[in-house]
Amino acid sequence: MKDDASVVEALRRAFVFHPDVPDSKASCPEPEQIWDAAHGDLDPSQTREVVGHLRGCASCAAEWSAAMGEREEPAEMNRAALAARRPIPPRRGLPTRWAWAAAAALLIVAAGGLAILVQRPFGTSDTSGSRTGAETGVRPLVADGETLPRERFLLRWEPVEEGALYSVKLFRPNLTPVSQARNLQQPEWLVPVETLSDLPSGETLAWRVEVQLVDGRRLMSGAFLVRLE
Amino acid sequence: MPSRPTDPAPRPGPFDLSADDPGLIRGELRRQITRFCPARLRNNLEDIVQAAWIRLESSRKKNEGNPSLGASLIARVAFCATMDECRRLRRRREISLEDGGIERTAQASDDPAAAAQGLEIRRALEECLTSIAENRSLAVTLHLLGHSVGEAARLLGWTASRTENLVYRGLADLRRCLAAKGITP
Repeated sequence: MKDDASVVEALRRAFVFHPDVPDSKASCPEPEQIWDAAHGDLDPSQTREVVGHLRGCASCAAEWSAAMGEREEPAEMNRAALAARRPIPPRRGLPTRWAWAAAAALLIVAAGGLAILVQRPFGTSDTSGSRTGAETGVRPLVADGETLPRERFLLRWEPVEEGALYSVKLFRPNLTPVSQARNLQQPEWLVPVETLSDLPSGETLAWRVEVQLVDGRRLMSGAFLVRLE
Repeated sequence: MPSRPTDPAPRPGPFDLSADDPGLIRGELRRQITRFCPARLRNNLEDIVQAAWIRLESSRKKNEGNPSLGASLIARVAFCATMDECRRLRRRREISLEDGGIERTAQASDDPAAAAQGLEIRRALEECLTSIAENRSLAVTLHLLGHSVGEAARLLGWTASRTENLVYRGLADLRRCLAAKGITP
């Protein structure tokens, strides 16, 4: 069974996979351009052109990856996802285990801590998962799966440190953003009632907190569950 | 041209082509090329080093007033010379497809079934990445290449918050697109 880290790595490998197609097309950027773009030495508009090319050119994507050199650390968003360290269960009816692994990686990357939600039913009282955000020091003051009234949908958590700023995102189970708040000084957020008006009663939502510490570091919590009354 | 049986230890800081031992600079060049060079191209290593050396000389001549070469410039020259050689040989089909272009990406070829599935996923990723909104797609592409949000924001010229938002939304789009292609968790 692959763990989250290897799944994410598999997706990345797939992206720079060298396919059986003619490559080094006339339209390919020169290696100099790829190097300069990957190292931030190109104008952003030129970089966007190069990156746009990478989407459909595996060989250039592989060159970009090589130009980045030996990067031991995964991207910060992945670190948040990998923090869960929860193995991905096998599913039936999928084309291949690899395909499932790559697709699961997408889900994990997309959802961060929300990946945990996909692996278990919503609203259960199981609190053994690592989505509690303990890794980042964010502890929710709303019970797991607690039902909150639409008019006072107050998300609260323990303060991390004095002077920290908090950003919060609220998602639906399909990962559609519902609402978000940025740079909150207090460890709580009253979700605007109008952003909840289209949601059905009983809907389970997920929320996560990003903390900007005084020294500039950013921490991302896992995902927490809450139910709409 | 002097050659060394073993490369000298890497030296941080600038190299001075006019003053430093050419063997020292050539050794650094070889060390950098070895980082980028696929195993199957190792037989061409000296050719690549030579091509890179010529590039380096040319670069120095363009900057006569400043003969010193930063380690990053040497790495850039090494990378470009190596990739040029890869591209040239691939065009000539001297590198078989099983070898892969960049060695680190060839690992999946150890298992043909996994390689075929990897290719399938890669093509699906390509199709999906080119079908979602442009800016989201760019942000997600850099994310898949291992860049942090901060790095991607800097490279693409956007704010970190905007980039983060684009990555999140782009990944959601990507997931939907892959699901539509039958790749669903």
